Amino acid sequence: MTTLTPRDAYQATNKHYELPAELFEIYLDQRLKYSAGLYPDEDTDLDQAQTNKLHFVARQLGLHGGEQLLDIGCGWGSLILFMAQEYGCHATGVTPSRPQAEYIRARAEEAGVADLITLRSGSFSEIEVTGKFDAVTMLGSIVHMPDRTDVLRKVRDLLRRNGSLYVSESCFRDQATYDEFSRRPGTVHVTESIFGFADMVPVSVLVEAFESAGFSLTGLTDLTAHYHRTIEQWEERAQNALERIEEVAPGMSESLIRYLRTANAGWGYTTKHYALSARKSRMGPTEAP
Amino acid sequence: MTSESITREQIVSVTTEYLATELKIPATGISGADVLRELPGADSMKMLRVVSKLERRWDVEFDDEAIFAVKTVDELVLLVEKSVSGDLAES
Repeated sequence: MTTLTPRDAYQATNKHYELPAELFEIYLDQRLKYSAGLYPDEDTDLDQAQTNKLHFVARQLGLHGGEQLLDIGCGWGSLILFMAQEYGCHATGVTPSRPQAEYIRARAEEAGVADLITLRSGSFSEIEVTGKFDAVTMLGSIVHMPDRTDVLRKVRDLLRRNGSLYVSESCFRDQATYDEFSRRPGTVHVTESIFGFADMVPVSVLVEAFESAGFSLTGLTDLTAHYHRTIEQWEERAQNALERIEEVAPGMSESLIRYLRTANAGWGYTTKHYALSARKSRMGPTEAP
Repeated sequence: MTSESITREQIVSVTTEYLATELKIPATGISGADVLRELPGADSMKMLRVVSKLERRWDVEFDDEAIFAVKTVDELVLLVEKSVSGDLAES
């Protein structure tokens, strides 16, 4: 699996995200945020959970307003649009998907933040990004990149001194589970049939990549339960709109439901979902006086 | 960082001053082609202290690999120059 080149992985991965936004509007929240929400209580709905999560990311990054932000694998732009609107950030999104980029441009115009949004098309490993950023985010995108240490080194180069990084990812719970389950049919359906390429390495492997890239790790948060609730709500929406799914993406409903169920069966048993935060700072997040 | 352009002369001057202070030798005795390890009294700990002061002075962090690849005073100046110009590119 890891013998794929970054380019192979990028081409394989992009198929899912080239599907029309109308499909994702059926089961995701109104911002089309395709990653875990945050549920402080049992009454929290999907839209609120995703808003909570974006505020959580902003806190983890230490955003105050006006920062230069880079979101690698920006999906339909939920994070960059939010950070531009709520924090006045100059936000750059990287996505290989043309439909996603077009969708974000339209939303940025509607929201009146087009001048704060920059989009870069292509694979982060291949494109040249210039300038210095105060913060970089990667929500569920490093799983699609086999060259994770090189990617994090490139991120570190793009950050100013003391700049912050937030990565959230789904991981097999340990190396033994990874070895046993990563080639099973249920996993392969999710990682290859749905996503083209995804390598759900244990978090220890991600931590090692952070270290090798020269980051100071400043935080590790377990969001497994929150992803479980998020996917429950995605599945509920999808189940209530199977016909609509077939209209928008014929033949997709069965494999989509199977993906959501497989993912949710594994949380805590075979898989975990973590948020990692880090700084480009030799001494860590705070300088001693 | 200010947006004023930082000249190579400034970087040379600060780098030489830090080396001279750390090694307790006159700055005039240090030239660009000098190999850092061969400067009088030089050792790896003192060189790391110079690197640390340079990072703080210019508000940058060098790549670890680039630091260990540096052999001469000129190369150290170039490392600072590259890091500082990278940081100024957007400001």
